[in-house]
Amino acid sequence: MTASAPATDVWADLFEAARPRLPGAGRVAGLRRKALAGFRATGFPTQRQEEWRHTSVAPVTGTAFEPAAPPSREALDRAAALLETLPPTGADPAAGGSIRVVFVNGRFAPTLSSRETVPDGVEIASLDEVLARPDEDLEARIGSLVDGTGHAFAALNTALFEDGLFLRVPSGTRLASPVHLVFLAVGGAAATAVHPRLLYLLEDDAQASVVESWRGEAEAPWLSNTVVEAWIGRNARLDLLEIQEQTLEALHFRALKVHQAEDSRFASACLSIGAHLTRNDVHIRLEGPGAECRLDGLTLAQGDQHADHQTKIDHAKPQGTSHQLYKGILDDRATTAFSGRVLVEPHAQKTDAQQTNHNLLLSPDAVADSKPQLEIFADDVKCAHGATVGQLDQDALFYLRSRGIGPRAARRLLLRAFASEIAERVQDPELREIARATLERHLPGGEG
Amino acid sequence: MMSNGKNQPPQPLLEVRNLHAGVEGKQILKGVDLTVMPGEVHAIMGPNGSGKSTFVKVLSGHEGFEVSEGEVLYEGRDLLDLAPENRAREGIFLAFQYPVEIPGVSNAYFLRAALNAVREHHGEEALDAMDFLTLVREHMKRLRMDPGMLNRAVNAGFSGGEKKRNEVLQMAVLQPRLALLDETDSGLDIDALKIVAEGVNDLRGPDRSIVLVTHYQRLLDYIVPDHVHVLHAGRIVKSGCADLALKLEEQGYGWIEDDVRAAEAGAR
Repeated sequence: MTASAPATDVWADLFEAARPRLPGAGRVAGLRRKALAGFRATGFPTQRQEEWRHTSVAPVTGTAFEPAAPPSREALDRAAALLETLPPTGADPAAGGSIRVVFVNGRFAPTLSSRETVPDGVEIASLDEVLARPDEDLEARIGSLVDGTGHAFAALNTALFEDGLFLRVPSGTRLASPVHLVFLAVGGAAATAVHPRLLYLLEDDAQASVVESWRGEAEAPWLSNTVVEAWIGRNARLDLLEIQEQTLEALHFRALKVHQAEDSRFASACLSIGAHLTRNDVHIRLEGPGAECRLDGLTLAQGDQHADHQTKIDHAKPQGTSHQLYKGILDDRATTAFSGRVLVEPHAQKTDAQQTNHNLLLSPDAVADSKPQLEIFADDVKCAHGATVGQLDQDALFYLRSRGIGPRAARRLLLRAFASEIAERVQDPELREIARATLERHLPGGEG
Repeated sequence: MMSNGKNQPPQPLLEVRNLHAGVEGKQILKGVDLTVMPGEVHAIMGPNGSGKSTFVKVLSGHEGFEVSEGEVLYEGRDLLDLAPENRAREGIFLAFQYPVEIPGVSNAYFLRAALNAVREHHGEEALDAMDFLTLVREHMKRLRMDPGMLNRAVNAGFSGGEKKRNEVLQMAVLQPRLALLDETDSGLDIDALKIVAEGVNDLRGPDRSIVLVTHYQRLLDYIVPDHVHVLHAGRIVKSGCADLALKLEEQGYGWIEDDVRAAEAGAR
């Protein structure tokens, strides 16, 4: 009997109540039942478990969440207004060629979305839409990378997801402009949970860029519990930018698993800015030789924010490359954890794996934990890791001031320099612009 | 700036009186006196550990040093009360012995921010990017610098010589009234030394003064000082004209130490 058992029961009850309306039959329904059974057996993680050492899930277990109802007319109007008033995500429907898919409280909002320019053969659909009709390929794929085993939140998502996205880019097709996914939280008074499920399928030689933008106005506890499964075919390429700007009521959980085929490329930049609690689990498997992945992340945290990034990269085949750069700027009592595990399997020769974590602490009460784990079972590899935790470089500050630049401007300059590296590493030019603009909004201003 | 009447002696640009300073309780400067008139070039020499670098750092406002006694007047006003950025805006420039690397900030951005901070302080309009580039490229040409260095991060990955040249470039762009050069000659080959010296000589003029700290006479072949001072154990123990530097080069600092000891014995 564990302390979280009652919370486990609450979620089981929520599942029973939701079951009649949950999309997907047959295999998907079975997947849900199995995930819930697994969740009930293991319960929520505790900080005694190594992978959860730095993150308490008490804000989840201690709150009675309701499942998000389908958005009312009012909520949709509110969402439409938010889309106007929130700083642009780059997904301006007025701009030609822009594909925007909006989710309000976890549900696809067709009236706010624009999919007119989706090329023939490319599928960008809500899961609710596609699960309503038989699609064997989708049913076989969903849950094949993440079925919730060993991860309570992924299990809850698998059991409870009501909507999400299915993106399929067929072989040889390249999307000319990014797909913008906007996840809006339009809060009411009740604590609400959403479990979006996203599937990105890039067939051989396909190419796409995706922006996930998480934002809203939730004023009550808001559990956003996402699972992303992605398949990147041979010589295909996916560029992903995740911008997490949720309100401070939000608890942001996201588990991403990617399978990469031969010579494929996956690049992800994650800007983790909002939410009271953020937990990102990223698991990349380089299944084909010559696959390349790049994971970059920037956390801006202040007040009592906490962000925990766990990455795991399996180098299963030779000549794979994985480069990770995670950075954090922490103020007040903010805390972050980064744990990066790189596994190089015995025959994955010529692997090039780099992992770096740099943290800047602006307050004596901020804490950044960093844990690299390299498990290397091949002998001809290049693996490196490095981590730093420190304050703003006092010598650099003085150098700038000695040239007439005031202390606030000097500080701002150094913070921007530290943060902008993540935006500048984004290779897709449109995504890079969005990343730059996002940082521009969140880095400290002020003259002097 | 105050103008002087015909019959009044000109006002010193810098007056240092009995300056005592140290770091973490350890006294390094133990009563430095120095007067620098507009247009003058002063060389401060001395053995390692004599306090040369500390002296110019204190003048630039480095917060790592604590001034325990004495005063510094710049243009007749108390300098020690001014924050480092305000000293810079008022025309004091320190060329660092070890210029700091700032990854992520381009040289161009940094230089323009600095120049505009100084200009705005004097009520002048900020330079736009185009005007700034025209100005800075001109200076870079004179210093024989690769224009590509503008787009590189400040000093990041620069060679020792490139860093020193970058300091002189900043000085040329900011046009200080009082330039403090902290071992700007160290680590330079002879060609680079000549270029750096040219950059410094370009700055010379009736209103500007230069204090250069150096360990060797070499730089003074190209920048001929009006006055040479020897700093020893935190005090200026000998001052003279350019010849003094030559004598130091030939005879080292031993005779100075003997003189100091003799003077102290005589005083007893």
